[in-house]
Amino acid sequence: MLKINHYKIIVVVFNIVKMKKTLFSILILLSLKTFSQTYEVEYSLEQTAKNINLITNIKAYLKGNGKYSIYEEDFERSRTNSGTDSEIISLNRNPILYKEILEKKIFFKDQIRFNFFDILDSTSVFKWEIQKDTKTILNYKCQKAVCEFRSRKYEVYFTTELTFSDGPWKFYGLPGLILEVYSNDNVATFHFIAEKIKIKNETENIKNPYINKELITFDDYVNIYRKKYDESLYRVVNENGETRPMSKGFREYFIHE
Amino acid sequence: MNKYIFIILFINSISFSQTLKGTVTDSVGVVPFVSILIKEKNNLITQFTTTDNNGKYQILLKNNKDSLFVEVSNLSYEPNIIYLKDYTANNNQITVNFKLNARTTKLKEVIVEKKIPITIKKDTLTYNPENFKDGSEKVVEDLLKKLPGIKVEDNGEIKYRGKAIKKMLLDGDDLFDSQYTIGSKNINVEMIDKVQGIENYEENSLLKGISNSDDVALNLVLKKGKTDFSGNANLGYGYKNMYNSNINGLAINSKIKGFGVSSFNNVGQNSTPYNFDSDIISVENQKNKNLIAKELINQGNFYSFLDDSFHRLNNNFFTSLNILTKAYRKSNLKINTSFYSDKLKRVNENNSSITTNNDVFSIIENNSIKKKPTLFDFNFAYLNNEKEMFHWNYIGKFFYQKTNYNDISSNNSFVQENTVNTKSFLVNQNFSSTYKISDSIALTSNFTYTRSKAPQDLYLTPGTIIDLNNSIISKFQNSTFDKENINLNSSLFLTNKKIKFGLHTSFFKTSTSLISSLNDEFNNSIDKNYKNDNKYDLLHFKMNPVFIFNNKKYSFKIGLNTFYNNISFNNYIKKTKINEDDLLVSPSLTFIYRFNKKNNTSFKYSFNQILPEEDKLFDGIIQRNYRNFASNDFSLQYLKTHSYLINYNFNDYFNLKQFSINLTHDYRENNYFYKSIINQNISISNAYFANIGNKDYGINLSGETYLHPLRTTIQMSSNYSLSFDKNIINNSELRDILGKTFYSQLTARTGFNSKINFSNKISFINNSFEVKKTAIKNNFNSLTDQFKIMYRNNAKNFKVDFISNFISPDLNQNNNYVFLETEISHTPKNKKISYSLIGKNLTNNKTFETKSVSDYSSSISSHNLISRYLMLKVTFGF
Repeated sequence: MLKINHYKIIVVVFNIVKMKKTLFSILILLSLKTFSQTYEVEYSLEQTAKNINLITNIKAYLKGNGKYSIYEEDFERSRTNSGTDSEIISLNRNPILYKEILEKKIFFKDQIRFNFFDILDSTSVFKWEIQKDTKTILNYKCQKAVCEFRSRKYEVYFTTELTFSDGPWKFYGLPGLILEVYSNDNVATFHFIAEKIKIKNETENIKNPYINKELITFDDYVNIYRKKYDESLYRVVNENGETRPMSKGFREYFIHE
Repeated sequence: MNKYIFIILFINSISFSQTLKGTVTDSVGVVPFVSILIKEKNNLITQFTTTDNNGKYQILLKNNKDSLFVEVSNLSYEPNIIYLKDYTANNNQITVNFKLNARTTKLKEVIVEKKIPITIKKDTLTYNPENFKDGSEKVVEDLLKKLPGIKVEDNGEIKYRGKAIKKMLLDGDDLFDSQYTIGSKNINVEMIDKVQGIENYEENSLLKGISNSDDVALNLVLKKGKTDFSGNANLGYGYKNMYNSNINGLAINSKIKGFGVSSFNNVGQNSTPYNFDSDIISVENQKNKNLIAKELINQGNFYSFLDDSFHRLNNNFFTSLNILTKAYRKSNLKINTSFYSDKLKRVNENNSSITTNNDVFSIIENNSIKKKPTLFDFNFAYLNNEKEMFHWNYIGKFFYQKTNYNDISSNNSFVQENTVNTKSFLVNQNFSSTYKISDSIALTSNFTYTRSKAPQDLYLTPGTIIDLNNSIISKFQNSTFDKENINLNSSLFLTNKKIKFGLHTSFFKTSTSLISSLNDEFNNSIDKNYKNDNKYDLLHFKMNPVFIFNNKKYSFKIGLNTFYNNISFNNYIKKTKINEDDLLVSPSLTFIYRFNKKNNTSFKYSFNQILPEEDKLFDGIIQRNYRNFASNDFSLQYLKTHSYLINYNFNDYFNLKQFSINLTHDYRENNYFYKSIINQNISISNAYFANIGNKDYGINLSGETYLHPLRTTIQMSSNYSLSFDKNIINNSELRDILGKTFYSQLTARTGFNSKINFSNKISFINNSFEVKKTAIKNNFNSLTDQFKIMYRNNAKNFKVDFISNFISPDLNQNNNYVFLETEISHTPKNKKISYSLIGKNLTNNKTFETKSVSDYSSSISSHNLISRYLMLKVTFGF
């Protein structure tokens, strides 16, 4: 696990604007009303695939303005930093996930046997249950919440000191920014932890990279996955008559038998 | 009583389900999508909700309202808190409206960061790891055959993404070098954690990113936490007197990795990197091909159309030990030793019908062969990686092989006993270093010294009659090639993101000498024409600039190999000496275009100019076996070849379809052609050089698809090649030979979810030769079909395999063969031990006959087979 040896805070204080009447305050009101903060969070993700005992450590970046956010997991960077270049499957781009938080829409990319799909997921609903545990992450007081999402149980810590209803990967919908996520079952373990948070007082327009792409719905994607999964149950790969079934899902389960 | 309790409970439960609702507004209007937090006295949140588009919210409280307070939280507004005990419920509904005030102080911009010490964790990449389901794989080779992109050839050679792997590493360490089959054929799959395929493999970590390596390698990552010493053993005994045993062990700790294997069998198996009985060059020999002294005297024909397990009568003992230990801080010490000993037996019968211009006659040969090779191979390496920018290593190799060959041959009823003794040794010393000048520049240098010698002796009893007067009889042929090689290489690598440049310079000095003599019954040399004493010295200096450009859509590679040769050939028998100086260029070009992820095409062209090898330069006649003689017309001309290759690949892994097509064409401006004299007693073949063009064309198609409605995978592979050649037989004119070969194979495998599955492989070969301007034509077709039935029980610990091979070596004749074999295995619940019952050659075929054709002959050959046996095998791990 991560060891905390050193703790450093850089605080930049901007001008404190005194309350003035009329124009100035209205301007502020309007600009503040349109969610004029932008948050940038750097997470460290450790995921373990238990069947082949593979541990992957990468950095993930979340950037949002309260309404829209973009999330990227940096597999590419960790690839070039590794001691030996080694992967059987090599994908050239980092996966990018875009959220329209208020519309409850998530745009992301996934692949089935190297065929890539741009997916619009409108069915990611998180039924959060708040629990009593608390902890401090990066000097923010966090409280625990749990939920079950697509057959996996998650424990998260979120902070209401940053009232953005967002989090890493597909997580959102809590009254504060999610700074830690943990999940463990017999297929895999995931652990996201925020390592760096940046709050800026400006509106940043976060564009949707999937705007001109051909999208399929999440349900369609699951159907295609199911079809290919069925094929993999019967397709023989060698002279001994062995098959190699696909997994039922990794972060999300697509097959629920 | 129960009724009252029920009512009380009902009232109690009702009194707790209060609904909290309201509207949130600010000075402008309603506030949508803002969080409403329900908190307890300790400031912990118990529930939450958000306002909708109209600023309204509603939530069913879980706890009694009096203990709760409500907070509206948003960074744009001042926090707003109310205590629910200040409100009364009306019909179990509490209405609380909020009026928010904008925050007057702008939020502080913050950057909060945590500094973590750099922990070195192994970073390996997979995006969506697939399940590698554990089937009945026993050794690593079985697992590798199942992985996408990995193919295992017949001799154990492993290919990753179509390319032969350079190394098979164990936890990143190179324990086996080129002898990786020792590991892949023996290591228990239970020890393996995962297999990694490495592209652009650069053994030299300092060159990573700078050199353009096309090499590929595999890395086997071992399970952590497994016992430091593990292994497995295989013991099999069959009726009658058949053995198949194997034991291997792997010992690992943080300092040392060791792997040892010992095997003994007489069922035709060969899980070693050495091969003595066929034309397939073993993995070990491929590496040393140009360094090891050649052998001209023939040591038996062990070729067969069938798989080794049917015909290879052997008695093979092999043992190998490989140790790798960490030395000092970052250096490695490696030792590999192997010992191999075998007794191969074979009975061959060959009936050839020879057709030349005016003559038709037949040659009938019988051979009863015993071949005993023994070899010892020792490798030592020290790799020093202490300095970060400078790595060096030393590798030493010592190889010794002794073969004792005995053949009782009958040549048109003339019986002779042939004995060949061959000793071959190879010593190789290599020193390499790499200096990384910067992130984009590196310099490597390499020095190698090799010495190899292979003396051979052939004794014939009685001798062979060479001439028509029956006066010259040859009894003893000796032939020794001695080769010494000094090699200095240096390469400079430069890179600039998309462009990679390498300048390879090398110098080598090769000295090869051949001393041979064919002696008569009095052990005197027959005459000058049957003697060789020559020395071939070659000084070669080369500069090869290679320029590589890589882009997402296309890449190309251009090489301009420029070399200078200084050749000196001394013929001590004829007392002649030839000196030559040449400066030549051999260009090569590769172009790859990727249409998209699924389609790509490539084009390769190269023009090669090579000097003849030493086995084409001797002009004294050498007797190769009881009836075959060879010699050459000496010529030191360069063999010029233009090679073209066009390739197209379609790979739709998503739809499980794959297809590729290859077109090749080689055009040789000049070549060695053969003048042969064949009569009933002897055959003499003389190679001569001529500036006559000859060429060949080839086309190869292969594909694979999966049909889900039939649950069947289908694979197809076809090959058609045309060759235009020339030769002279028995003083004919120069004949034009057109050779055509067509080969096609279709495999289908079912994957029903039941206990029984099938697979069928059918292949067809058509071979034909035609001599232009004559009526001479030879042609034959053969067909084979292998059908396999597999039964697995539900627990997957009991399986039965039944294989039938139908072979028709010549479709024009009714001589067909059926081979049946079966294997029944059982692994009881505790899993550490498994039993198999194996039955081979159940129909007890004793000999196997095939037909072959060439441009001047048509032959029927047969050889013996391993007789039917039943074997019980026990396998256990430890």
